[in-house]
Amino acid sequence: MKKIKTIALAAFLLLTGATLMKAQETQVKFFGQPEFQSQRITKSGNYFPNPPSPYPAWKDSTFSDSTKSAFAPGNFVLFITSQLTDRISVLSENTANINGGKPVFAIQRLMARYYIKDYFSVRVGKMYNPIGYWSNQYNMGLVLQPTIQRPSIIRSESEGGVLQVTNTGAQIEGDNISKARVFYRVMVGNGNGSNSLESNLKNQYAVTAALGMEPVEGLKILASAQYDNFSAKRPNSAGITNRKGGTALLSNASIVYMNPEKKLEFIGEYYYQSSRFDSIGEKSSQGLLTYAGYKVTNKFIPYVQYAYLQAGTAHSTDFYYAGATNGVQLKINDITIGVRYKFTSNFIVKLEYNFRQQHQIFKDNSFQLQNPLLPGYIAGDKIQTTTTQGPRIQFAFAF
Amino acid sequence: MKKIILLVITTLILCSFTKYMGGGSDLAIIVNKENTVTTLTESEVKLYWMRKIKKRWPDINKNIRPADYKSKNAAQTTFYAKVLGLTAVDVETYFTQKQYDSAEKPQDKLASDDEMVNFVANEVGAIGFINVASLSEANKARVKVVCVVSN
Repeated sequence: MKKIKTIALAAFLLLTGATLMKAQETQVKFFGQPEFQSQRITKSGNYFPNPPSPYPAWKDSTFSDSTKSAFAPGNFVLFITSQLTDRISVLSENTANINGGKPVFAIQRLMARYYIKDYFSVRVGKMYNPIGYWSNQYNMGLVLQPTIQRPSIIRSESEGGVLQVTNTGAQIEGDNISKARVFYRVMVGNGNGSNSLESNLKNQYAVTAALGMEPVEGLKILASAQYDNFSAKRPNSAGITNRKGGTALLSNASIVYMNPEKKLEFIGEYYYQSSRFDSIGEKSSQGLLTYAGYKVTNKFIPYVQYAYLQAGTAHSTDFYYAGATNGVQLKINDITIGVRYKFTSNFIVKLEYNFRQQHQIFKDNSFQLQNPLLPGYIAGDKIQTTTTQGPRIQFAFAF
Repeated sequence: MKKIILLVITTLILCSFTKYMGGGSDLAIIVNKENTVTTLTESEVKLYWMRKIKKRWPDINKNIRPADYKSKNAAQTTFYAKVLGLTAVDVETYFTQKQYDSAEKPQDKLASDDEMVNFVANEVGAIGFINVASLSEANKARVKVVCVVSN
């Protein structure tokens, strides 16, 4: 009897769900992106041993050289959109992955969009922060992304980057204004690391704005910026907390040529971030990414991508930047050469070779690696270089 | 033997001709009867069908609903190549990207010419395409032809 009731209930729910989906024109899509990656990691530096330092000792030499490879399932993405009325549509994007042997689920986006005019619409909920081009075009559904991984400069804070990829709040937007096809986005959101009443202690918000145009089909010129106001003790997404409050300004300029009718495709973006906290003063980071691809045929596209990131300057480091600890300057050069083959629009294979060099520059007086009061001390900045290189392949699909 | 060769050649020529006729039919761009638009150029058809500049029709203020075929056929091939200038993969990627970015509904996909005509006749904001040869007199009365793309 119980079984019959369960079957009847399941059938009822399925039928109701199907009817609702039909009535509201709900569309469900799944994205999958398993990949295989092999990496050779070499660490070298100019640090002079100064025991009993807890840090590994080296002097102008390679002190670590290892190779590792693995298959990874990548994010499994459940993407749902629904046209509720003629003007209202909703979107939900959820990811599931395995991290450290444990399943991890996340709501990436959950938003409603109300269309009023072509030059004026409103979005509310959790959505992509309208900063830059790449971060708004390519995210979880990697079948759409031209490369396997996001460039270093636009990695999310949780991946050691500067960018707040998603934000919760309200956004007004407009497209195709005048012949130059001007577009704009203005968002007021919680900002970095603030996703609850508890974490936004002083009711301070982040404002993000983007303004761009598309004067020629596929050519987009864009400028965007985010001003974030940090309450004291409010951590950013990487968990870094400041005792006192502060502000962060992230600005961007992008030029993009992505026209499916043309053979050449190009993305160039520059980011600059400065943060000011009462306790540590003003710090800055900057970076750029370039991508160029050429359609040899409609299915076969070789490409190259270069990214450069510098967190901190010669005399100051960026405490705000998640990848750099205080007293450490970070420089990353990242170059990728690859090809992608489109079997269909829903199944794409990408094969890449990536070379990434990361310099961590420890200030001479930082005491982090070498105590100047102990014998064996050598004056000058200490540089640790980590070189990562190797091939990777991704099978990106949607269904 | 001569007769058989002649028969084979005649059949081959007829088959090629029939194929050419079928694939080479002109294309009619159709909208709902309530739509106030009377004529469109091919480039305007592209802009409306891809919802590039406008999301809604002028005057009637209804959502533009592009209609497509579920599976590849002669009309779709002509429409993609001649009007859009894109491959099938590019069209799919374009609409997936729009949906991913702004929750925009992609094109409606229909199984047959009859479904195409029914959809356009019932949806005020619809814009679709069909081979002129497949558009019967009865169907012509149900939709409005705003552009003919010659093949």
